[in-house]
Amino acid sequence: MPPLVFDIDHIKLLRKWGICGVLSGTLPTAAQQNVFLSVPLRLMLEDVLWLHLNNLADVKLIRQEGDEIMEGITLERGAKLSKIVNDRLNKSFEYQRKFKKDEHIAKLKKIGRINDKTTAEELQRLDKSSNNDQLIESSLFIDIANTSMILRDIRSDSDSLSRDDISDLLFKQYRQAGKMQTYFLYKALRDQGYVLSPGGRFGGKFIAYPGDPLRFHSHLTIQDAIDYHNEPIDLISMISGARLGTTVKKLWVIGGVAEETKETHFFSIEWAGFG
Amino acid sequence: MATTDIISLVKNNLLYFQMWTEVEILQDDLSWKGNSLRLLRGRPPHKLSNDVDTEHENSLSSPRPLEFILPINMSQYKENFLTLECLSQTFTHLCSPSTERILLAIINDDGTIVYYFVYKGVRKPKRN
Repeated sequence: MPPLVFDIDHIKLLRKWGICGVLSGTLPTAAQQNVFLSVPLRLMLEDVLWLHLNNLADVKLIRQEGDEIMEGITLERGAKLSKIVNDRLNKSFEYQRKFKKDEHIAKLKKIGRINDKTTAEELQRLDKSSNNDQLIESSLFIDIANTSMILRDIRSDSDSLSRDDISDLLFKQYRQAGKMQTYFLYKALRDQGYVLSPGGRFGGKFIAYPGDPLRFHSHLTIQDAIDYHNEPIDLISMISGARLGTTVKKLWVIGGVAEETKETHFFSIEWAGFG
Repeated sequence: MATTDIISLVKNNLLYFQMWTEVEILQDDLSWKGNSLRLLRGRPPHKLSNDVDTEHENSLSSPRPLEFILPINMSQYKENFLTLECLSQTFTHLCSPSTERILLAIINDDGTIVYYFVYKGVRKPKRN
């Protein structure tokens, strides 16, 4: 599961640090709103590594897969959770009904149709003639909590893990993929002031903006790190990537880390425009 | 195909097909994993489309900067030797210290050549 951020203030703070992430929240029961995504914000693993290594984030690891978490809910606990949700929803509806009725009465008084002497029977007759109750029912707002009651209950393994253990676990995903050095490319580009986003749409690992993505065009497509000493550059991948870069106005960037000096080396490649 | 053959092939392509001038094969070479790398240097006939458009560059009488060209065989069916370290060594030993880019001439199996610029480091964005 990718790293997720749920708190709006945290998302704002991340943006100040140059981490924009990708909003991925939606409403399955209101699909017409899917074009506008909201919290949670999905981060790249490199973002989490950078935050963790710079002591800017409290990383909590949830080892269970989503399916495993859902299967672990017993019928009794499911019923209890469902009752909590329904109770909360009913309370919200009751509050909204009262609020809308009070607003309605205040409006009627303001325009002069009723006054302080109007009886309750006359109010009911007015409500009935204008279908007020039906209008109120159809306008009730469903408030969806922005935190998960299920995930809140999951015991977090990070309570008993040291910071080094968390670093090892985060780097472990690199070790499995054999792309250990990609994080160092990420860090080197961040140190140069670039804002990095996922680059899958352009055939790379990252795309890099020279500042706020709302103000700048991303002119770099960054590939996974390759071994500085031994791994040959795949010329066919280079040609196809740089050709794509010509049409989308992005340079194809390859990089690696020299083992002895730990220095990152980048090369930017673009089609020459002839030949 | 030996490296001397691809050097001559690239030189002829630049001179007689791309209409470059002053194309010459440089004498320095770099031994790399059993291969001998040599550069060519030449002058393009007009401003290249990737170059920034400045007032100085607009003048027709101003000379185009000389470009360094590194021929490389694509070798689709056997592993080539071009690594990041090889590129670094090429920039260090075969180019002048002020060189920001070299032109990679990639020879396909059918003898055609495609040209790609390799910039040292991360290039700054261009003005659109």
